Amino acid sequence: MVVPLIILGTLSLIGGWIGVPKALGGADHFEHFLAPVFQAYAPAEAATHAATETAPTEDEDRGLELALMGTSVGVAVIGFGAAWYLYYKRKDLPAKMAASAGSVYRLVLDKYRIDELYGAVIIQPLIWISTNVFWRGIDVGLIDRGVDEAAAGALDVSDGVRQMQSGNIRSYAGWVTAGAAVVIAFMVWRGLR
Amino acid sequence: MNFINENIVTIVTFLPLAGALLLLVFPRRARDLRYFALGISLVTLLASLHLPWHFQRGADGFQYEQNVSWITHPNIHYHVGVDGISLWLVVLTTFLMPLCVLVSWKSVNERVKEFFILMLVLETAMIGVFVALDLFLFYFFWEATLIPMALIIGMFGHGRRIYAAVKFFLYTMIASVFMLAAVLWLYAHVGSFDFLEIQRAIQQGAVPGFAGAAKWLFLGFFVAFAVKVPMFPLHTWLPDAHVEAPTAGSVLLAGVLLKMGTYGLLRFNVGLFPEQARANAGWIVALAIIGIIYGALVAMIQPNIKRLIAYTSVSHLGFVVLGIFSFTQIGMDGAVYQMLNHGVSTGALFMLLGMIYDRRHTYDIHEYGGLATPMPIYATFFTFIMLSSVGLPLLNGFVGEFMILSGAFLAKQIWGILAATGVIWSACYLLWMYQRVFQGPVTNPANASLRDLDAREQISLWPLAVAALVMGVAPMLWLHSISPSVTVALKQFEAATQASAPAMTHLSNAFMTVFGR
Repeated sequence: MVVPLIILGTLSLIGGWIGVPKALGGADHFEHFLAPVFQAYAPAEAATHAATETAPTEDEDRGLELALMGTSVGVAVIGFGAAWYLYYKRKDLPAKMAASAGSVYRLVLDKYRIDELYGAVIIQPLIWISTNVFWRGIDVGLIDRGVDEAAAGALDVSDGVRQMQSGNIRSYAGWVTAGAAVVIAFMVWRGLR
Repeated sequence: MNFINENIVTIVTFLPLAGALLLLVFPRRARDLRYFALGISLVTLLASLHLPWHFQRGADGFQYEQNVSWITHPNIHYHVGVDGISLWLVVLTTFLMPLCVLVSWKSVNERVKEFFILMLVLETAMIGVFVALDLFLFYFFWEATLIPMALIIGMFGHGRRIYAAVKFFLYTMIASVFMLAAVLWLYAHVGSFDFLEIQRAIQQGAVPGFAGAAKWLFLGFFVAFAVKVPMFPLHTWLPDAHVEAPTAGSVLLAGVLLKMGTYGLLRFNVGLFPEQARANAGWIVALAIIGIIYGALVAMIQPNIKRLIAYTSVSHLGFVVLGIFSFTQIGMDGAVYQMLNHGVSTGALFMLLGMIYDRRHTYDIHEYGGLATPMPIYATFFTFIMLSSVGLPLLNGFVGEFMILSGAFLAKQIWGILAATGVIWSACYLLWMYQRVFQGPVTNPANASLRDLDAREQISLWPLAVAALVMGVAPMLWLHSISPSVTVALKQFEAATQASAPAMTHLSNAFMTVFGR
């Protein structure tokens, strides 16, 4: 891990110099890097709006920038110092602090158990619904069952109708007679109406 | 040159069929058959590259047209041609075919001759669907794809292959009958099967009884295409067909056959019945968005990798339908582009699944784990293709999804918002699957000494990986010819529906600037 860190450290040192802010007397090469992309499509009204607004004076701007820079560098230095003290100088301290903090320490170590909460509230229900309602319920149970039943129904009906074609002349004669009877009955019924 | 330009579409369409006929007389030596099939598919690919090479960008209408009378009574013409929309779908088909031959090299060992004959016949039918400009011819090719594909699934598939093949066949066949009825109605009232003549007649209002029938005609076409896409809730044939199909069958099914559905929606439903398309867009988009989310959720929990990828198609093709029915330039451009992207990335995913199946003969996720250790090259290809399917910027899926979502936002914001969740879902199901299959320690001893991809397998994957990258970085190479054809379709659509599409110039201009002209 040391070599990649050295490379990254060197690169960030170089990268920092590309964009030295104006407040420190440099020229920021990054600031307008993407400007040409948006120039053509910048809404005209936004541009005029920005122009009429009173721009802060150069000095105010510079003071604010320096203050922000100082704060962030300060925070970094404090963090650096604390890490050096706890993990290098007094290696026994972190364990003691953890023991004294007790359940609070556990909670922080477990990232406030947000992952577990998320898993129980969102992921598990989603997987359950997807499996049991969408897949087994709608997909397999409803739609596909309907398709299969339609096919099976066609087979069943054909199987029933097939019985008529027995090859037995007498039964054919029976069917013809029965059919004729139905037709005659229908005609009589029509005539009576 | 003129001869080539006039006949190139016919040559590309029927070269594979000629190859299949030659294969018939070949002796049954598997090695020769494979090399010959590979050769024929490569020659077809080369021939098809003539189409984009000499394509007149920005010209209206169809190119390389060929129109000869085929049957005088009824009046059926052999009318073929391509525009910017069908052009690339033809090339996608010819591009995937040699790769399909390569992945079948060792996995198909029995009835090799029949297999490659069926594959080549299928190629002719698929290309025919995209180039046909006569509705009878279109229907002919449309149905002709069913037979070889059903046989490929039924003869060379796995486990419940007969069930899957019959289901695939009947599902699509029954839905297509409605389209046939609509086609016959149009013929009866226009006196021609010709797409352009019918379109003109409808635009001029010269079709008697059209006003009353339009709704049913639209639905007739729609049902046939919706099954093929497949749109929720008509999708249940797809997982079965994919799981049982051999690898090459799955690649072509996902890569090309599903595109026939979305192509049909764009060409016929929107092209012939613009008013109906506008009127029905609401519920169609609703079904598309349900498909995006529902397909993703069902994919997420599948225990079988191939079934998982099959359900992702329901989700991804939902995006395409959404793009088409957004009726915006950028959305429809994106829809056509996403058809190609899906063919490349899902085709590649199915090829990858086939390679692992050849080694372990299972698609069960539980059987795998830690595959990246024994098979680093395989894992690298898989990662790359998976990311292209997820829609990582710089890879092809991103461009298509971005354009479709932009179009959806312009059409109706809520469509864009709901569909955009699909991007998250796709990351969920693919990354989760990847984690379970590839990462961590090798838990199953059967996986410990799997051999990595050999040269043939890598060669079959490289073109798709390169295509995924190039299509993600330089989409204008394709959109140059897609966009004008979409513009033509959209103009006709707007003229018919008397409504201007939502302002889209701003976004699509920004897009053009970012990706170059």
